[in-house]
Amino acid sequence: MKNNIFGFLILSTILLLASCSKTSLDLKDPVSPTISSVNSESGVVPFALGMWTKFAGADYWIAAHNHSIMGDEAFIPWGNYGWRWASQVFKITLPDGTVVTNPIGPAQKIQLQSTNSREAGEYNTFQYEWTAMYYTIASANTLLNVAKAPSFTFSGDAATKQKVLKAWAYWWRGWAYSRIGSMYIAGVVNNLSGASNYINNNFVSSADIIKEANANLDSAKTVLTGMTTNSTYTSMLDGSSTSIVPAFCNKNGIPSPDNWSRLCNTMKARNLLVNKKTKNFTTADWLEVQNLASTGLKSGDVTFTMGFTSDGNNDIVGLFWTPSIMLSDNNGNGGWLFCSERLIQEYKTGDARFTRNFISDYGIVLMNPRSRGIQYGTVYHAIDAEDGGDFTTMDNTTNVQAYLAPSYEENELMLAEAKINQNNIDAGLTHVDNVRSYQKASLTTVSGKGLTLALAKEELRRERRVALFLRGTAFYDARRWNVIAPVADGGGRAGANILVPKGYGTYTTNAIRPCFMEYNYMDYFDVPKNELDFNPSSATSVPVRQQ
Amino acid sequence: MMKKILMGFTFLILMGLGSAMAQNIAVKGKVTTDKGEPIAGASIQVKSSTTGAIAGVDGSFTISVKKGAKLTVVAVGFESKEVTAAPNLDIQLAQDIKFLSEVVVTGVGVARDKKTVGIDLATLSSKDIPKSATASIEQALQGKIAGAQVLINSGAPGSGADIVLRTYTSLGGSYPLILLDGIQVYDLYSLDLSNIDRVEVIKGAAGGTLYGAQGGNGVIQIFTKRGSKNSGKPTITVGTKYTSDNILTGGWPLVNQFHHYQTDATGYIIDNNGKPVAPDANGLWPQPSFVNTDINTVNNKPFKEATYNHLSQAFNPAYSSNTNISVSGGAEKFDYAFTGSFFKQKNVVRNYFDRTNLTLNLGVELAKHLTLRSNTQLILQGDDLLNGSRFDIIQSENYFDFTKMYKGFTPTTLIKEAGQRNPLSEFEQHERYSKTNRMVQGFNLNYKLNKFVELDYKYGIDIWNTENFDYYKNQTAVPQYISNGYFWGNSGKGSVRDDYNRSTYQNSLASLILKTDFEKDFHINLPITTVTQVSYDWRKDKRHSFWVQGTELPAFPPVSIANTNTRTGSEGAYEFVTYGTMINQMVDWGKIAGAGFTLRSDYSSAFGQGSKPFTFPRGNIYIRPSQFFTSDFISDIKLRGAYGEAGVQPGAYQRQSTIGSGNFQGTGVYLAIPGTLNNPALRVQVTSELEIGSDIAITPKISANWFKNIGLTYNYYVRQSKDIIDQAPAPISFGAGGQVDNVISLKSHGMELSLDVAVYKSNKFNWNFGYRFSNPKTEVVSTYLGQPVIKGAYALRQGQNLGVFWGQYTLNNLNAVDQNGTKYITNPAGFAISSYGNVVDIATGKAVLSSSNDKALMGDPNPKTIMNFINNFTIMNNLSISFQVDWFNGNQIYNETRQWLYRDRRSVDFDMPVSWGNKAAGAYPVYYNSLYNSVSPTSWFVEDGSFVRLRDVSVSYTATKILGFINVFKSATFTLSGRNLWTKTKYSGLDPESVSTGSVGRGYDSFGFPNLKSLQCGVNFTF
Repeated sequence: MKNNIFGFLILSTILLLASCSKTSLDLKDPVSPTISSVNSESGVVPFALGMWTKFAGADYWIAAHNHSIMGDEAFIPWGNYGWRWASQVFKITLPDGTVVTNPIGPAQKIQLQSTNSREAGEYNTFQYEWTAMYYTIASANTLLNVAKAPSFTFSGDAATKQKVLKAWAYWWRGWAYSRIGSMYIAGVVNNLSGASNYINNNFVSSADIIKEANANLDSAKTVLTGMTTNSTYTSMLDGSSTSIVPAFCNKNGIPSPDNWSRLCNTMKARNLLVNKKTKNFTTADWLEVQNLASTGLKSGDVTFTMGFTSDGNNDIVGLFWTPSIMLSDNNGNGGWLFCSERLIQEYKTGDARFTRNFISDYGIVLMNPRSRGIQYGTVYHAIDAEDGGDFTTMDNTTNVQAYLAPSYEENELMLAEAKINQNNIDAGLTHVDNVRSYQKASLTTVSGKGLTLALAKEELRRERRVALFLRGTAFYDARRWNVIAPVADGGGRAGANILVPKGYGTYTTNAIRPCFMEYNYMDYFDVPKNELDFNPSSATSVPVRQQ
Repeated sequence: MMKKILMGFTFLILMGLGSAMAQNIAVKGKVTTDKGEPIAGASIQVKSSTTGAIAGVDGSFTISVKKGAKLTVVAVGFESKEVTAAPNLDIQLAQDIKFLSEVVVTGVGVARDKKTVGIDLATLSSKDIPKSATASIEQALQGKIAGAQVLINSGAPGSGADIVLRTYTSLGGSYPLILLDGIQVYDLYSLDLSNIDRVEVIKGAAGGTLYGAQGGNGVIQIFTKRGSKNSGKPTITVGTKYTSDNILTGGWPLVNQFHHYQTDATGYIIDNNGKPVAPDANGLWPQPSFVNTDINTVNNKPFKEATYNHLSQAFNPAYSSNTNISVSGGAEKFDYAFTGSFFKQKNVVRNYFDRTNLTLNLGVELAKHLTLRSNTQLILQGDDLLNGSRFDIIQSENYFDFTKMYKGFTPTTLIKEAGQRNPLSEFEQHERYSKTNRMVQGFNLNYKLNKFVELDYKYGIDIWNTENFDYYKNQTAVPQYISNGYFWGNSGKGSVRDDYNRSTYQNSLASLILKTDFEKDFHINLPITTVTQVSYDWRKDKRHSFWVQGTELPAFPPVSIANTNTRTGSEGAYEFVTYGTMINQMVDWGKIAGAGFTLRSDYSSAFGQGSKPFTFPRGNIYIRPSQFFTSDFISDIKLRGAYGEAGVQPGAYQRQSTIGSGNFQGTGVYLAIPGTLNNPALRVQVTSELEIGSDIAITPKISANWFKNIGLTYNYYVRQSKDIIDQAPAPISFGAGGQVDNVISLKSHGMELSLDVAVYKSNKFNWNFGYRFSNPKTEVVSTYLGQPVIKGAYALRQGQNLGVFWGQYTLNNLNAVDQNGTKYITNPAGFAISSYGNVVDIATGKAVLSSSNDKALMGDPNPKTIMNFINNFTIMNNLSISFQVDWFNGNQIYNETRQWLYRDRRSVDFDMPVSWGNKAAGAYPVYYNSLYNSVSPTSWFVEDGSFVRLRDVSVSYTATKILGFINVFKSATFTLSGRNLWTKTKYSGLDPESVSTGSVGRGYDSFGFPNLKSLQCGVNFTF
């Protein structure tokens, strides 16, 4: 009996003491690394790699599709993420004079401003580009904070490693500010977020944001100047385990330091070109575009893109989001994004890019689905890469790259546009021919054929639409060419192809008919309430909402 | 602190070593009801001592006591009785409708008479478990306890329940603490229903402080059946039940019977190319043409195509069986009870769920006053269920035939444009199973040192391992894969995934109990008794999960991750430790009044910068005015009041600042700023509860048979929950979504009423009636920066009820204004009021909604009142009939299923005529479709979710003498029962209970799996 009591006592004592230690409470997450991991070479490189999840994640692609559909190179009839409302055309006039007003009613601005609230949830389409860009900026800030620190030590070729990381941070921060300044009425410059809890409530104009963007692009160039493609540089960009680029995103090769510098110039040229209405461009503006673009990307240069692994996966956004997955294809996949009849009509007869990429053998692909608007209709599918196309893929295993940054073709066409507008027509058209040849269009050249200025501009316009399909410029072009402006301000598009269902106007058959479209879209988005609810703009700020 | 407790322990043990012995006799007895049924678990206690015994499954017990000692016999639900010890005792207990004379333990620490408890404590004994509850303990609890909402929202086999005691205390869920014989376990899910002896429930912090922070959501304690010592031959019970299940389908059709698609001259639906809709060779249909749905289009064309009822194509009647066997008994120094339950349920969709529970409860008297009890429950559970996509089941065109095969396959996809799947084709390409091995082991070492001191040590471990296997076949030979690349799963080339989870919950609880009686022990002439409990409680929850997936299977067998081309995997972990000490002091003044005070202080893990213990107090008091008078009408009144604080500790690692990580195939690991930052300064969420109430026993004596006993329990409670952890949102330019923080506070209140009436009582006929009432309500007191918290369709706004629906609303008059006071309609001539009473734009035929930034309160998914009505009839002692009706009143449901059907113009509403202004009545699709609003929440889809449901009905016949079997069976019971057989509701969906649960997120009908309507027949034999 005594033993029992003793046993019980001892047992109790042991348990009490054993389980009492306070150190047993300090449990660390065995799965997630801590923020301090970034402060070492073995952590800072993976952190730079992780920035892909911010600038190329789902938020970015939702926004990228907004550019496509508001630029009317593609359409999405579905309401998810507010797409349907972002691309709601105000009015369509059929050839017989019948006016078809969109089924929502008001113009896009009123509709989008009404969903600018946190309560609108995913339908607040203003939030996506803002989110992707400011998350990218915060990551770049954190990266710079580490990479710039004098105390930070790298092994081996420390100078190259430090420079690549700095260039990476400046480039993506410049890219992100470029996109904010090119899309929103106002923005904040916050180069301390991420690294600290700093919040800036001084909202500045988009022009000021572009200035900040260009300053960052210049900083990137400064870092890249004098660098060479040595083994350390290569190993940081080649998709290997020491790389800041995933293996599935460098299928086109890696940019040399000079290539990367030229990319910064092309980005600066774009910033200038797309943020001013073309009709207001001065000769000086065109000259500046030309100067920047002439130091921009060359034939054979690569840019930053996103692709798939050999088994068809993409560890950034899964098997979704990128245009190659979402665009409706000839095998019945996609079904989110559809090519616009207004894109199809831009292809010149005999353009091999058209026959390579579009097919109508299924008859009507989609026509006014759920009565959401007749601009939502096409008879074309994109042809999968497996069947010879460029834009979509059936099982994602073929190398179809989604573009994140400007490309050689965009740079060429900026040169073309600048030269043509300075009445240097044939020199400009040579760049158009270069692009067609580069993209294997099999079209006869147009330079030296005595085209008038107007015809040259039309060649340029159509080529930008075709060559830069899904490259993120469609909306910028529609805006600067005044297509999305209200009719009262000279906007709209005549001769726009629309698959008009029978029963509309006097028509008794379904057919593609040339109509007049009044888009009447916002030029620049408002600042999303997801920002303003917790960061109200200061008294000295510029307006954060279109009046 | 700990040192002092230990010294105290030692001293008290030494002090009690010299206890004396006297001459004893062996008492063998049996406790039965007045109908002769054994009362398992009855407690036999030697008066004024710590000696006692517990009756086994067959009601028998043995105990060694002093000659002539008085024995108090107590059982839940029966009137207690005092008898004088004799070698053979046959004790009959009368059913006690008052429910006041039970011995209870949960929330009071040390077992005591419920009459002298200062908190509300609800109980349920095994005999109160409805006969139709066959699948889970949760089913057994539904509607039985006032204030306990047991929400089962799915008829899928193995579905657990969301349990809310009173109100919500946090945003993350308010699941109560579950104790199994005094030991904390993960949850009720999968524990054996058949070996429950009784259940005790305390509903919040006023009682729950005793169990630490986790007690703030209330506590449910399960007591399992035990054997009895010296019972001679073992008692064997065998029972089996067969169940037939069907899904509930509501009182209305969901989908349209007419259409408005374009048709050809013969009336067949055509596609956009003008051809009659027909599937291609692989079963893929074209989009029907409904262009030009102008204002005058009417949904009135009958389908000339063959149509199919998709609910009956997808759901079939299913049968399940439930068998259990129990063997119990004991010898001089030990008792045992073994239970085996075997449950196999066929799903109404397809495939099976099965569960085996094996329980062994052993008690051993190691030495005089030193007992060891071990309770082991082994649970083996598995299923290969495939439930199909209910979205596609409901959303598919009426003329799709799910069962038709093309080229030997049911088509993967039915219609190209909408990408709509054939839910039944998944079963050809997808296989999965889940296997769970769970073991719950509890040890209890108890030493009754002397009449003052009792030492008790409990240790429990709940080990839970689950493996989920998921396999999609290589579908490259399937016609629709070849033609369109359609497949199920991650890859057309197939995939295999295995998930493995291992969880262990340990609970160690050491207690010292000190009892004094001033009169007997100290000869002080005051009727004061005291009970002091000092406990040290340690708990550890450790979980680890990992998965591996292989994609691209070869065409040859076997199916194995080892044979796949690409493999990925990851892992997750969770570890939580808490420990603390508790002192609980109770002082009673006779049976008249008493007061208790508790102080509990706990540390919890991941303390980061805040490594301080959290201390919670509790106090309670009762007084029984009925002790001051004698009344023929009221036999007992107890008034009680209690206050307690408890809470919820931050989740594991929430106080540790971590960074996001992942892996890019081919390159490697990446790091990234996480979406939400952790917070080292997080505090414990604190819930305080004040509860006042009364327990009253009324014995009217107005008739020999009518209304002999009425028991009434009433509670009123007020709760406050502060420092609730949620994301404190940040502006996007901050660089992350925000940081977890203590940002929200809630308050709630309500009352509860339990009434039990012996309506009629005679030798031949008994009628007992039970009534339960509660009206819980939770309000949002404050949010972060006062900003509304947006959670999908829900918005938490200061001053409003928690969990309300928030959305756009249909305008109901032409003068409607928005939140800024601006009139919506500036030209009233262009608008009219429809026959539904909402504003319609005459020009477009569309209903007018408030703008999407002008949202308002649309409804509240929380019921205003919950009532349950329980009737039990006993006829001629052996035939019993019972039924239970549950009534949820005043709650709304957001019918998102219906809203989705509005998208494709396929709700049954589209068949209904509507009119406005001068427009003739017609089923105008443009009108209905305008209400779809892209599944953005709209008041139109908020419906009254009130319902009255016949939860249980059962008829049971017990035979003690059956021709030919008289010598084999002690008794045999035959039962017929039904569950959810009848529902009365205005709700238009399939099942008003098949809606989402949770504090913020409740009441959404989004293609849920309806509950089951089931019929059971069963037999039960006792040998």
